Order: sequence, then C-alpha cells, then structure tokens
Amino acid sequence: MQLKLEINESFCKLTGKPDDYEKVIKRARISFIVKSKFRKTTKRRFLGYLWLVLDPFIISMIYLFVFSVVKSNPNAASILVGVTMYRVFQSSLIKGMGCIRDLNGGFKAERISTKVVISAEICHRMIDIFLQTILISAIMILGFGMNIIAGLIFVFMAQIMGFLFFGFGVIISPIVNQIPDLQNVISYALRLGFYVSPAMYPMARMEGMHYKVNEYNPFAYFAELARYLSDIDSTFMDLNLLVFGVIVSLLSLMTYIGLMRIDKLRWRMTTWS
Amino acid sequence: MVINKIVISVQNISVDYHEYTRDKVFSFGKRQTINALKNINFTLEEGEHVAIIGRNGSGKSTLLNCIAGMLRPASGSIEINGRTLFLSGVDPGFDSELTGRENVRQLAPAYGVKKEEIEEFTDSVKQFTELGEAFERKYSGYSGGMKGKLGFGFISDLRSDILMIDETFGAGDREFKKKSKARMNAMVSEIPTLIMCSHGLSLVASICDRGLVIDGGELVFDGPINDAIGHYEEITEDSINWIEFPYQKKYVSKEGFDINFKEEFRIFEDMRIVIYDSKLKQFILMEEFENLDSFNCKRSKLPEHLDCMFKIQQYKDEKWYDASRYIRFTTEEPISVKKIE
Repeated sequence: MQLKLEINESFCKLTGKPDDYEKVIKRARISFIVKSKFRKTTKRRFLGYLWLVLDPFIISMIYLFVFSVVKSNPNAASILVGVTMYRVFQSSLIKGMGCIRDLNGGFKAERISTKVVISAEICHRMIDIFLQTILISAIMILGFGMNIIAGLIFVFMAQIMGFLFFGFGVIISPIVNQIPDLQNVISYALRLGFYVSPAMYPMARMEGMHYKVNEYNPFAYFAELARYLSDIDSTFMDLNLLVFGVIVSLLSLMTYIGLMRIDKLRWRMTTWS
Repeated sequence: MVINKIVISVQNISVDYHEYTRDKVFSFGKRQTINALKNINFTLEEGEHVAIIGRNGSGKSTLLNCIAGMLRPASGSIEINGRTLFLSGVDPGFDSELTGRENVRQLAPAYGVKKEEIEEFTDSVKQFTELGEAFERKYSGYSGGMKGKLGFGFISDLRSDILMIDETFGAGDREFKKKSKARMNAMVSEIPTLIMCSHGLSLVASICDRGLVIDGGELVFDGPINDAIGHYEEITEDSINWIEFPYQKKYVSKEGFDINFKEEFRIFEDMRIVIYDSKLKQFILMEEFENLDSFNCKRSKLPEHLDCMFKIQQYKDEKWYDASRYIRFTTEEPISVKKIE
C-alpha cells in the first residue's frame, strides 16, 4: 500500500487505505504510548503499578479519617464515592487541557497520526479511571454492602464522566495554552471546588446559596447520581433532571467538537512556544 | 528519457514560529512571529539524494521538520509519496525507565519491525552498538555517548522509502563515529530517496548528487552538489580564529612535502588545507580531510613559484578555525618541527 502524506497550513494527514500491517503498527504505537504514560507515573517505585490502585484508595482513606473521626461525619461511603469521583473529574479535565501539547506521543523519528495519539490518551484515561475506581468499588461492595451491579455502574459512570470532562478540557485547551495564567486560575478553582462541590459531603448537607450554586455545577450531578446508585444519602432525585440532561448534552457536544478539532489544534501548536 | 516518480513535492512553503515574550516583569507580554522559511519550492524524484546546506539558523532543520510533518507551514503544501523516516538527533523515543534491550524490543514494532523479526533486530542493534552488558541496564543510566550509540544503532537498522537526516553523527567515540559513518553510507546506498542536511560539506558531497542552499529562510540555489557547495562557500565567510602554530616555514623538496597532523598539530579530524591565491587575493580550498594522521602533497600540486602561504584549518563547533599560522613554503634547509607540548 502506497502511503501519501499531505501537509498544508490546515492539516497534516496520511492518505491511502492502510493495509493490515499498518493497523498492527498503529496498535503497537498506541500500546507503547499508553505503557510509557503509566511508567512515568510509577517510575522507581518499589510497588510500581500497584500505586495506580493504592494512591486513590489511600487519599480517600485520609479524607475518610479527617471527616469521619475528626469531624465526626459517620457517612464514610459518601466520602469515598464523592472523593473518588472528584479525583476522576479533576484528572480528566487536566489531561484534556494538556493533550494538545503532546505533539507526537513521544516518537521522534516519524510523524504519528493524531488518531493514534488521541486513541492512546483515551485508552490511558480509561485504564487509569478503572484503576482509580475499582478498589473503591470493591470496598463499597464488601465493606458497605453496596449491590454488585451498583458497584459496576459506579465504575462505568466514572468512565463516562471522565470522558466527558476530558472532552471539555480539550475544548478549553487552546485558550489555556494562549493564556497560561488560566492554568493557575483553573488550579485554584479545582482546589476550591473540592471543598465547595459535593465531593466530601452530599448536597443534602448544603444550604441556601451553597446549594443553589451547586444546582448548576456539572460535577454535582455525577457525584449525586453515583451516591444515588450506591444507595447512599443523595439528593439526585430532587435535582432538576432537565438541567442534568442539558449539562450532559452540552458536555457530549463539546467532547465531540473537541475531539474533531484536536488534530487542527495539535497541528497549530507545533510552531508555538 | 526515464522519468522517475516524484516522491516529495514542496510548493510555496513558508513557516512562521510564534513566541510569547515579555520585556518587563509585570507586563502582559506580546506574541512575536518569526519568519523561518519563505516560499520554498522544489520537488524530489525517486532515487535522488539531496543535501540541504546553509548557515546556522538559515532554516535547514525547519525545512526538514516541515517535510517530516513535525512543523506546520504558515502557507503552501507538501506531498510525500512513501513512508518516511526522520533522523534528527539520536533518540527515537526511548523510555528512560526501560533497559536498552527493552527499549529496542518495545519501540521496534512501533517503527514497523515485524514481530517475527524483533529478536534478530534487537541482536543486530546490540552487536552494532557494542554496549555489552550496558544493553541490559536502564536507559536513564547511560552516558550521552551511550545514548547516542543506542539511538543511532536503532534508527540506522530501520527501513523506509524516504530517509531524512538532520546531522546525526555527533555521538560516540572516534571508533564509533567511523562505524556510524560507514553504516550511514551503507544505509544511504540502500535507501531509494534521501534528503539530508549537514555542515559536513565533504560528507554531503560524497553522498548526495544534488544540493539545495538555504540562506535567510529562502532557497537560493538548487542544482548539482558541487555547484551548491561552491555557491554556499561564496555566500559564507570562514571565521578565522587563532589557535596556535608550530612553525612559520615548511620545507618543500622536489617531491613535495609531508605533514604529520597528529605530531605537528595534534589534530586529525575534519581538517583542510587552504592555500593563498595571489591572483584572487584570498585563501582557497586546497584539500579537505577526515580522520587522517598525515598528508603528503606532491610538488606538482603547488604553485610554480613557492612564494606563497598556506594554512591548516580545523572544523570545530560548526566553524573553520586556523590550526596553524600562515606558513610559507620554502626550499631552504628543512627546519626542525617543534612538537606541541
């Protein structure tokens, strides 16, 4: 099969129908990029990949201790669900914002198509979110009597939420790259959001303006839905489901547009510093 | 007349770099655009070996990166028919947490090496790089030279339709450099189409048949390699920086004269002899050498009247430096050569 690379100011794309061996090479590249990303987060650590599962668990346990023992909040399950969901939301948003800076997936001797780079990123996100949520889900099932189906739905929902916020991150990535100061602003917002959003406590504990603001917080709906499915104290059914529908639709649309535009955005970044 | 297929077609390519700069501490800063390439046009046919030559910052690497699909052009278009491999530096994407062997085994399939050929490929790389037990050690623990050896050994074993090289010869000790050059020559002879940029004019002259001269982001010459080198030398000035000199006169017998570069000048890499032409009133290139211990020049090569000067220059840090003071030829009694301490 004769490959043809076409380059202009709008795109850089490989044309021609790929043969089977090209597909093998593509899979090998995705695999290499995904493994590389995980190796970077676990390098030189004795427990290696185990940290991908332990880290979210230990962080959740710390917050559990703080808000169960110190603050006398007995709703441990609610904390585990909320904190885990927030971690997934935060990491997905940050990865989405940074994905256009990954110009070639680490390869230096050949141009790698955006499809391969993004497929690798999505694959990495899916595995990472699964690892973040699976141990928590197991604890919820075994320790707090959560239904197995509910536990699996929790893991699945975290994937959906992660994917949507990854797409949102992609859409805002050009602005964040043009105005790097926004990274600081977003970092502060995420830190504040952890305490203001229903991450460590359900919306049922919010009052007045605090509650009203979170009625328009996209994360709040996912966190409350996760609590609802886990049969934990949740106000999901009291929330405006129409707003939830609009939020999910908007996020889905942004994700779609973001993924469609990512090639162009990535291509533009090659001459920016 | 045989018309070869056009493999690379570059049409009106311009490349701009965009930078964000801030003059003062508390200011919003501004975006700056740098025109790196302007309206470059050329085509490359299958089987051609082309060199891109030019000064530092002229746009050679930018052009290669653009053709490789690594940089976005501001305008124009490029079409490439066939698979390309771009050698820029010596790291194809190795992971610092893996050993040399693991890196080669994991990266090889991503660069098109078939599963059944991976073992053979890995052994071939290990043999060529001569890393020994270091091949089983982590890449992060390698020295710069070792990284270069592994990278070059890996990349030079890959195959493609079009090969693009951006000055990938710096790594390793002298023996490895020799080996690398030999492999590069072999590689080049197997690759149908080659485009390379290098400051080593003798190297490109030996490998390429066509030269593109880039100056100030513009293509100023496109033609046979020797003419391209000539054009390049016309537009550049050699920088003369004094190093040291062992003597002022060189005895020339009826047969000619000898120079032992190692003994007399302590250099034996990338040298040239320039001789003063009294008609042109400037130094002109007489001979260029690579890795030569000594040189014998026959009397017939020298001007009839020996009242002329010559200099030995060495190529270092991308410039030509005087390694000797102007030395006059003489038929007087030979003077003793002073060894450099």
